[in-house]
Amino acid sequence: MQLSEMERLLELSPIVKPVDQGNEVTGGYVSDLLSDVMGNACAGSVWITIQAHQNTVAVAVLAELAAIILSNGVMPDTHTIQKAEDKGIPIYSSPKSTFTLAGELFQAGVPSTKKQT
Amino acid sequence: MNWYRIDLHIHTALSPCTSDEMSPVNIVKMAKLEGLSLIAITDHNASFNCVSAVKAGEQVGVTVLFGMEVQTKEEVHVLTLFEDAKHIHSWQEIVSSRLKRIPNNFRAFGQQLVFDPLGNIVLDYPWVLQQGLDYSLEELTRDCTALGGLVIPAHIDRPSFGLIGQLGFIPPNLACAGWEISSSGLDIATVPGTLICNSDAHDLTDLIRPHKYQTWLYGQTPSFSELVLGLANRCNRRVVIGKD
Repeated sequence: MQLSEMERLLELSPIVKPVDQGNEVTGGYVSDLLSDVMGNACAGSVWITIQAHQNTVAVAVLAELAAIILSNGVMPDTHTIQKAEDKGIPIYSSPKSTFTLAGELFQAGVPSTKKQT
Repeated sequence: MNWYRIDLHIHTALSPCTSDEMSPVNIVKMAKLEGLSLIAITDHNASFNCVSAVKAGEQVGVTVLFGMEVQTKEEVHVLTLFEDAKHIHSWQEIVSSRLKRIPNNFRAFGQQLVFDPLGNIVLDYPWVLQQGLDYSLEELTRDCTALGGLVIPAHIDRPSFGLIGQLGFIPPNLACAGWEISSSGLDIATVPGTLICNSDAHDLTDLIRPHKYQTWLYGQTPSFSELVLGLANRCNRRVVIGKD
């Protein structure tokens, strides 16, 4: 699924717009533990979380994620937005819960992905 | 007995998002200028700049403790402090054995620099340091204390990586040497022990602190053993934030 389609489908507010709206989301991962995401999320996935600080962006860069969705109406601070812009990591926000967002994405065919250990 | 200004939470350029100017020698010189007598070097899950900082500190007359800011399984940040190189080395071996080996990506976390006592870069540490250990807060506190270390949960009132934010409340039986609050949370009244406030410095100017956020040790010398007594409020020693 393309980022633009995901944004429309989940009614997301883009906080940091993607460089290319056509970039593909190849899977989804949900966690609020950054170390868990670092170890288990697959490249190309969208990550749904309530963690909205600079380390969130760093982890997304490290794990080569497609985008971050902040659930429950969580908003990043200006430093985090700046870092995400610098690193090219799209951030979206939504008032919906993590469960709802993940459910909608899964129903639309975005698979759950996890690294093989 | 005397009052000594202390700062037990300082990062070098070994930690992500830290200014490259944060070499051990620069830190101890700035600490000296700021009137600090006792400091601790506390990088994320790593102590590789401690020995250089201690040596550089001896040159300028600042006592440096061997420290580390460890990140538990629950992603709670905890300061762990030791008296000598031997003990921090043992602690580092334990901590390293509980870290995942993930190659560092410069774009994500920047460089992780190790320095000699003169400020020369000797290594860019290749593995990601800032990650949660496979170590629970309770287990880590027990083991570190048993090894002779001081355990001080860091910035417990901060939403990210703070104990209260990550766990919801302070576990009732958690025995810690002290509790660090960030400057935003000075009104915390429910903490079961001595409060301290440190800079959590990531660049040199962070070491400059307004008076009300400075922490002071009242004791005979600015040393690990006096700090132990001060945090425990024993033998007329004490540790306070914002000395009168």
